[in-house]
Amino acid sequence: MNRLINKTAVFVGGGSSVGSVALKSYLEEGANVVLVDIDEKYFERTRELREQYGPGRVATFIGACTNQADMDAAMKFAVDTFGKIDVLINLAGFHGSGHAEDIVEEQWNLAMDVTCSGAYRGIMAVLPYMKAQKSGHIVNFTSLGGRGNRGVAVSYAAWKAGCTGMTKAFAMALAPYGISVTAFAPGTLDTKQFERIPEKGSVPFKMPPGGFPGMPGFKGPALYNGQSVIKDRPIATLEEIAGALVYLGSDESSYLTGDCVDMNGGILMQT
Amino acid sequence: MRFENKKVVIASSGGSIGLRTAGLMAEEGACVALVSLPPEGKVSAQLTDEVACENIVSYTVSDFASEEEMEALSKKILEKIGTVDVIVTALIDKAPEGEWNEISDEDAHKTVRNILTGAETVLKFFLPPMIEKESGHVVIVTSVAGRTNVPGTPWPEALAYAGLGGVIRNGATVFGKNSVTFNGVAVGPVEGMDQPAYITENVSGIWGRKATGDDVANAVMYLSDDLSCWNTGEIVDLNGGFFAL
Amino acid sequence: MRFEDRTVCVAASGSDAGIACALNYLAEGAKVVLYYDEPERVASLENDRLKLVRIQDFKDAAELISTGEEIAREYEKIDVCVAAITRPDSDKGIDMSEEEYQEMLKTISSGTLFFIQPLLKNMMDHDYGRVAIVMSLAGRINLPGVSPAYAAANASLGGIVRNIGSTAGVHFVTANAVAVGPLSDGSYQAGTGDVQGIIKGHEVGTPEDVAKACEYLTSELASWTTGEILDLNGGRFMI
Repeated sequence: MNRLINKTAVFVGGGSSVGSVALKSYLEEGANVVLVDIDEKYFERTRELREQYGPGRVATFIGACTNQADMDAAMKFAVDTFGKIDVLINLAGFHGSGHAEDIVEEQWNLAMDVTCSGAYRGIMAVLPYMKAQKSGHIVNFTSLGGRGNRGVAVSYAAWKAGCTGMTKAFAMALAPYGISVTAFAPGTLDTKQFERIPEKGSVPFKMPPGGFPGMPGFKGPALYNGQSVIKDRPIATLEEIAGALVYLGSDESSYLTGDCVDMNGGILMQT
Repeated sequence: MRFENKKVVIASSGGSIGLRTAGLMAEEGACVALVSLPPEGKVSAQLTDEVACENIVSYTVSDFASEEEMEALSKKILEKIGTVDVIVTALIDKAPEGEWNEISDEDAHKTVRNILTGAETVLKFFLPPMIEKESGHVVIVTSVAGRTNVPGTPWPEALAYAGLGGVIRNGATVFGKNSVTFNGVAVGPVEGMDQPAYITENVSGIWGRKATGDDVANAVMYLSDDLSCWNTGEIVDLNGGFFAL
Repeated sequence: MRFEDRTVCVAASGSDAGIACALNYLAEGAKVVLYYDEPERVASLENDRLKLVRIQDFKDAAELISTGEEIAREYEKIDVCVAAITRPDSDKGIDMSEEEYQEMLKTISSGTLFFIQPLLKNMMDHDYGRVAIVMSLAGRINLPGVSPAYAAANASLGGIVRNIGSTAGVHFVTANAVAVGPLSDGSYQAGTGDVQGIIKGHEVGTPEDVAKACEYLTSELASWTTGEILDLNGGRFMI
């Protein structure tokens, strides 16, 4: 279990369900991890696990990806604590509420600021360290919601797609420094093991009338498209997501860059 | 040991992708049947040099597209290993160069047969145990030339590699109800593979190096380990940043 | 006269593509409302069926929304809405300041969304609509020399198109995009690599090429096409 031995990873949005489960996988594979999030309450989810591994392996930092100074401080904290940064995973995202014909600017901007610009700020903050060591893995957690037809908020669709596009540009620009940049776009995740903490700034989201195929609450007939093709498997488990993040953060995927890696039960089979 | 006790069948043109996938999976505990094109002696020699060979048994076949040959071989292999958990195909070919209207029908068919029909025939005889036990992973290694336009690609290769994309998506859709996943890795230039000039010269990556057999093997393992059960119909673009979708 | 009796709203900024779209729809019989922020681009335009609407700032959502609501009231039924809002990419790449990065996203992406918003609402109320967005190839695929801001802004347009396509279909509204390579007027650049097309004699796209593609996507014949991105780059990239 040493696929990430001697690696230090920073999870921005590390208090999320994904971050909490990926933390376990990363620690088991030998990595040191810094979790960055906006509120202590997110870190409650991993208190036991963190106590088990101790401060020599895992630390937390309060900071917002909507603020470049916070991101700069978070990366500095990681380097001061563990000596270097090998992996940056941008997990922070904000859905926003509303469709194209009615979304208010505030929701749209918040989604842009967290989901797309948040990743941007995380990357800009980690760059000096990764450039100096001429290596690094950056993983942007996007979503099927940005890849294909899903009844999500337009802000989510747009800014997850924006983040995926941005990933490609960063991949091209950072390859000369030995830094790989990939996007990971899963479908719906099974987060029921965690109590839901509403996103800061969010307002209730309204599904289009009748719901949307493949999304919870759909009232129509079963359709092929929009649903998983795998028997009894409508959504991903967080362990599966964590498995992908281990691959994408480790040296095993050092040749992979610019790609958006999907995991969606066959809901969208990108050509 | 990510692949402890897993039974893996690899169909290889004889290059580094098949060899290193066999080697790395064996290191992770898999029991591997490596079926290759070159004569057995050559493959065994490479195995001794490059990989841990306790868990790997190598076989040779002269034509992956021959149903007769594959049927007999599959019986032999399945008798030995019992069932199949992972199937990997890494079949390439080298179509003769020339203008589009200079490629003979015969050569075109041969290329399509070697790349596409070969993969399909392997699946025909090794899928049934997976379907029966309702679990398994198929990983098909294809080429970036089947994903997008690479200057100089002979049309039979474009056809065959793109066809593999279709096999991946179709297999994913049809066999999802048997909990079998189908995914692919689309490669550009790879060290230790006998690839045509249009790939090695026109697929300019941004890393300043080719992929290694290990790079591809790691992607194959990502798509076929126990945590990959919700991945299906996906193609990982592993071509050094030439094309990433 | 494929668009006779149709009302088409076009937003043109940073390129002649939007202008070419407006002219094309006029030639096909439509009433056209053309939003612009660069007076020199529209100086010579004049037509009975053309209304020019000056926008002070495409980053101003409130301005776009109130303008759109006014236009919707005046014309009652909006049928087609085409957004061709772009900015030149910066050559600073990853060294762009955050201000420049935000400017790019807010102009290209927010500008497109809030231009469309009031018009889309009108279309959904009438149970008919065609939305077309012009975006850069740089939002589709990885290209050398493209700034992260430009890639993000253009890629987000793809997300918008898929999303409107998914959710507004129940009101018979389709949404599609044209992803263009660099155009002959210097707009819609796509990095520093070789991105010219491969069609001899027509290696570089023109604003008229874009207009024709938008015409197709917003016509009756394309009423079963939605959430689609049509790649228009002379065959340089086939996705």
